[in-house]
Formats: sequence, C-alpha cells, structure tokens
Amino acid sequence: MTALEKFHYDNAIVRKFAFATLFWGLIGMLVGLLLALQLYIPALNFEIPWLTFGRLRPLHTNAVIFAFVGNGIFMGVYYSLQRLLKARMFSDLLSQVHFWGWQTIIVAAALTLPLGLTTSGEYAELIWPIDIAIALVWVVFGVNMFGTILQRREEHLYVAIWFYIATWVTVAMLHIVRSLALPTSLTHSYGLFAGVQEALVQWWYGHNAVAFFLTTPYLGLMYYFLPKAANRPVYSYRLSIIHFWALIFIYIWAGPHHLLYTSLPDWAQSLGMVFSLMLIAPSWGGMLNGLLTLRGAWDRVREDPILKFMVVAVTAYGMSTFEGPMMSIKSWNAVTHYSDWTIGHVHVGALGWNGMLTFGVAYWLLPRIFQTKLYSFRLANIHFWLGTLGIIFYAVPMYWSAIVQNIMWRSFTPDGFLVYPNFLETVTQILPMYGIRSFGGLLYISGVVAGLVNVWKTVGQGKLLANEEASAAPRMAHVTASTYWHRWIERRPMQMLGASFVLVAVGGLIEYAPLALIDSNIPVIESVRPYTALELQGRDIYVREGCLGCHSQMVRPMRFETERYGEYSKSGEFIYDRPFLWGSKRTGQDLAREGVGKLRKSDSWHLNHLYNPRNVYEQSIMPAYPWLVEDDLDTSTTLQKIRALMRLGTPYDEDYPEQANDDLAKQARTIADGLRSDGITQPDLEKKEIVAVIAYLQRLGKDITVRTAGR
Amino acid sequence: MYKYILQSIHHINWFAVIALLLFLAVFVYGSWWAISRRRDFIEDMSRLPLEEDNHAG
Repeated sequence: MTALEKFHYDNAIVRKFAFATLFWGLIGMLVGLLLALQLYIPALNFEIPWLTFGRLRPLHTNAVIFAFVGNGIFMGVYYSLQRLLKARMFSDLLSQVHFWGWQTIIVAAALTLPLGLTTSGEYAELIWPIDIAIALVWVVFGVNMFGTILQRREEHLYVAIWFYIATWVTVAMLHIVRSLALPTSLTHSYGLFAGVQEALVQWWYGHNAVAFFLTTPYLGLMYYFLPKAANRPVYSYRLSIIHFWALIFIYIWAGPHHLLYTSLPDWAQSLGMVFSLMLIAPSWGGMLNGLLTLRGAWDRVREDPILKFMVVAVTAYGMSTFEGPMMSIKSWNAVTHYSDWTIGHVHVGALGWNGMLTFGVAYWLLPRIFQTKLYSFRLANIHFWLGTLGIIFYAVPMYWSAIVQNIMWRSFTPDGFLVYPNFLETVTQILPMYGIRSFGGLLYISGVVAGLVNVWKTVGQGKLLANEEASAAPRMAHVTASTYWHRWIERRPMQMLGASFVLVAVGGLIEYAPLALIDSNIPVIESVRPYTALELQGRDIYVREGCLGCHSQMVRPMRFETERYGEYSKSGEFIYDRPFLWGSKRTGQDLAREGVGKLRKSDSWHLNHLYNPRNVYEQSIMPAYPWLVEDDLDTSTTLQKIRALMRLGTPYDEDYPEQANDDLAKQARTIADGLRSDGITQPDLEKKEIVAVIAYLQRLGKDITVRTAGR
Repeated sequence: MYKYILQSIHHINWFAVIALLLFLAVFVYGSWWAISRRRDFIEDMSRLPLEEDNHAG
C-alpha cells in the first residue's frame, strides 16, 4: 500500500481574493448605481470631468467584470484547484504576485478611466501599459495554475479544471489580439485594426470576454461548488464533457451577433447568428446539469441560503443563455440592439449568474477556511431576497423601456413621416423605467451590504486556517499504453491546453481571414478621406469623454433609421477609423450623419449644446461639458498621432505631419471666427478643445454626401 | 498567396460549411467518447469534488 503524503492547502490566498471580490464588487456596483441615477438626474454628473457618465461607464463595466468577477474567479479557482488536484498551489510567491498584480491593475484602471485615458473598445478600454501588465499577470496565473496541475496527486483532471484551462488560454489569446496597438505616447495608442475589421475583432473579443471570463470559469466553479454545497455528485458527468467541448467550440464564432445590420459583411453576420442559435444547446446542457444535480435535494434548497444563491445563479444563466441566442436572430436583434434590452440582458447575466454564484461560493468557503459557521443564515436569506428582487426590478424596466422606445422609433404618420422625429421625445418617455431600474440596483446593493456584514461577522468569530493540512497518495508517474484519445488529453494538461487553443483559434481565424483578405468585403469609397489634424484631435476628445457609451455611429439599413438619420452606413466609410465608434447603445441619437443633411447644426449650436445641453433642450439628460470650452487643446501630440496613423496605413501626404499643426490652427481659426460672428465671446476660442470637437462632429457623414453629389 | 485563394467573395459559403463540419466532428466524437466510457469511471470522476478535502482515499 502506498504511503500518504502530507501537504498543506494555501487558504490565505483564497481569503485575499475573497475579500478583494467583495470589496471591488461593492465599489463597482456603487458606481453603477451612480450611473443609473445620472441617466435621469444629469446634475449628478456635477460638471466634473472625471464624474461624468461617459468616463464612469467603462469604470463600472471594468470594475464589475475584471475586479468583482475576476477576483471571484481567482477565489474559487485557488480554493477548488488545490483540492481537486490534492496539491498546494505551485508557488506561494506567484500567488502573491498574481494577487497584488491584479489589484494594482484594478487601481490603475480606476485612476486612468475617469481621467479619460481609454481606447474606447468595450471591455478593452484600458491603455496599452495596463494591457501589458494584464498579459504579464495572466501569465503568472497560468504558470501557477499549470505548475499546480503538473505536480498534482490526482491522476484525472475533473471537468472544472478543463473549464479553467480553456478560460486561461482563450482569455490570453483574446486579450493579446484585441490589444495590438501602436503607441503614440505613454497613455495613448492607435489600434492595429481599423473600421469594419476592428469591429469584428472587437466583438470577437467582447463577446468572448463574456464567454470565457464571465461564463466558462464560472461553469468550472459551478461544477465544483454546487456538488459540494448539495453534497451530491454532478447529475451527468457525461453531459459535462459534451457540453464543455461544444461550448468552447461554438462560443468563439458568435461575436458577429453584436454587429447585425451593421456594415459588417452579411456572410459574417449570418455565421455569427447561426452559431449563436446553436449555443443554446451546450449552454442549457450546463444549466440543466447544474439544476438536476439538486434532484432529490430540493427540500434542502428551502432551508439552505447558499443553495438558494446557486439555484438562482444557474437559473439566471439559463435565462440569459436563452435570451442571448434569441437576440441574435436578426429580426429580434433589430429591436433589441441599441436599446435598453441589451442592458437588461447583461445584468441578468452579471447580477444573476455571476453575482449570485459568487456570493454562494463566498458563503460556502469563507466559514470553512475560517473554521467557523456562517454568522447569520437569516442575514444571508435577506441578502438573497434583496438580490433576487433587485434583479427583477432591474431587468423588467429595461425590457419595458426597450419596447416602448422601439415602438416610438418606428412610428410613422399615415403620410410617411416619423411620429417622433426628435430623439429626445423617445428618451423622456422611458425615464420612469430608469427610475425603477435604479431602485432595483439599490435593492441589489443593499443585499450586498447585508452580505458584507455577514461576512465581517463570520470572519470575526473564526480564525483563518492559513495552511490547511491534507494528505493524499502520490500520483502514479506512468500512464498505461492503452490510453485512448480522450484520456490522452484528459490526463495531460498541456495537451488539453493545446486542444482547447486549436478549437478556439480556428473559429476566430475562419471569421477574420476572409474579411482581411478579400477586398470586395470592404468596397472602396473614393470620397472617403483621412481626418484632418483638428478633426483627429476632436475625435480623440470624443473618445476620451466616452461619447460612444450613449451615441452610436451606425445607421442601419431600415426605413425608420434612414428616415431619422440619413443614408445607411457602408463598410468603406470606416477605413480610417481608429478606433471604430459604432457603439452598442443609443441613450442619445446616432451621430453618423451629424454633419450633413437635416441633422446638421451650426457650430454655435454645438458649442451651446456641449457647454450645457439644457440650454438647448430643457429635458436633455446629457451631461454638460463646460471644460471643453475652457480647456486648451493639447496640440503637442498631433505630430506623433499623424505619424502613427501613417505607419498604420492612413494615406496622409508625406509632408503632412510637419504641416499638421499649421493646418489644425488654420481650421480652428475658421471655426472660431464663425463662432464669434454668431456672438460667442469666449477669448482664444481657436485654442480651445471645443473647436476640435465641433470640427469632428461637423465632419461626420460628409464623405458619403460628397460621393452622392459627385454622382 | 492567400490573397489569390481568397480573392472572391462568391464561395464564402464554404467557410460556414467548414465551420459546421468542424463542429460536427468535434461534437460527434466528444459525444461518442462520453457515452462509451465505463460507468465506474464516470462515477469516480463525478465524485471527485465530494472526496474529503484532506484525504485522497
């Protein structure tokens, strides 16, 4: 008989990630609540740049995804991985580097995003030095995880570990490709991809950030912690294998469903839609496997708040993974896209699936590593009900709002005119829903506060078992020669890593390659020209202020859109757009044709509107941007920006970089003179940021108009 | 070289067909493997999380 080896599990690192999860969760959700309030009380933007909606929105999404859920993943992985492999983490030092590195990245994000230092790619907003830090810390996590797997005492890799491996390799691939950029300074860069190609890469990344950061690692946690909490094995291990391979293969193809009816080629949209529909099967395979694990134990769900959290989490996963494919059907997407439906959908996933599972796992493991019992089951039940009601009060008004606004967007008079030509009319109608949504958010956060009190008291009454003693037989060093294909993978983590990488990489390659290599995908429009230096600087301010969070720049080929905004958008219009700014939500109107046709306004209108939107529309909910009128435009960056764009292929004249600031000053003087003639008395107008923003806004849609006139 | 292979959009439907065939191959093989495993192996694997944390058995 083989002698047992003694070793210790590292619970101290689990505690650290658990506390970080709860702390950042509260911060991220509080920022979300402020944003929800700002949407109907614009005074809460306080006219302070770093508190405006556009700058805080990416802080909220990054905090919840990468700080709350990210730390939640590491909390669960560090706990379960050690126990499933019967081994301590490979390196305590790497565990510490991973923890402090990740928290430093979060702090860096929390400082830079409100300062307007952003790339604008959704969920990929962080500037290039932070992107590099993320890659390095992710590698540290990977080395620590694979090192642990390699020194394990358990021969077989349980399915939860497959999910962890697939998560690691796919997130690494997505993050590196999406972050490819050419820096112009320490805080600014232009991406390698432009326009339609960037849009595809962005949503290949963005959708799979949802898939491989918010879903696969949490499925791994579900496969470990749900059986533990229910004290019964997973319903079907066979199903877990099938749904693992199907899920990671299909997910990677589904990104284009974020771009339906846009200028993305139709074949790519159809491919994304088909694979999104297919996703229902493996997603529901996981959901049913989770719920059926509780067969015969439903009586315990009544009593045990931890199981309640997990049941709601798995149910929310099932709901959002049914809703997602439905939203990928083009006709339904035409309704949901750009509307609050998307916001409701993502919050069912984030608050329900990720939030509730995180709290269930934390309630389960914290008393164990602190050698005590949960302080109060009553408080946990209060947390559960506040959270559940919070999700309902959040999501239902968002669906309601989306339907109301869509009906208004699409309403025509018998004579064929828009019934609500002023976009703002469709916004003021849904403000009551925004109020109910913020109440839902408040309920959810109140539950989190109750949870924090419970955790505080639980930890206070226990004592951390930092190094938990364990024993196990050493792993047999050999694998029998008669191994079959899947065992060859299933027992060997590096093969598993390779197989997972091939499956996820092939989808991205097949989708992207034709778009990059077939010229006819993006027909050339002769009249489309690169931005002038002033327009470029204005565009970068537009990016800095996060205008993308509320304004799309993509007119879909639908009558109610072309009637409101003008000619539909074409792929050739965006070839010089770094970053692309199509957006995914219209809290304000689309701006793709802002500089032409019936949407065009005077320069002085833009100045007044940006200075304080309530000067123009009393009911506007847009933040005021007085600093654009007060702050000088930084022209010291122009040369580097133009040179970087030329290196990336933008066809400026060879001598343009040296002339760029002269050209910028000339265009700025023209706009400033026009503003003065309209009675604007601000001194040194031509030096102010507002002039650059106006130049950019007035450029929008002009290239297409020139082409039409040329015909 | 690839530019010549992919110079036309006309046969792009093959990309979707290749994608579906790849998926079917993975799905069918994975399903066959999962279904054909011995019951005791599957039961052992499904019980892994339930083993006592400090005892390998």
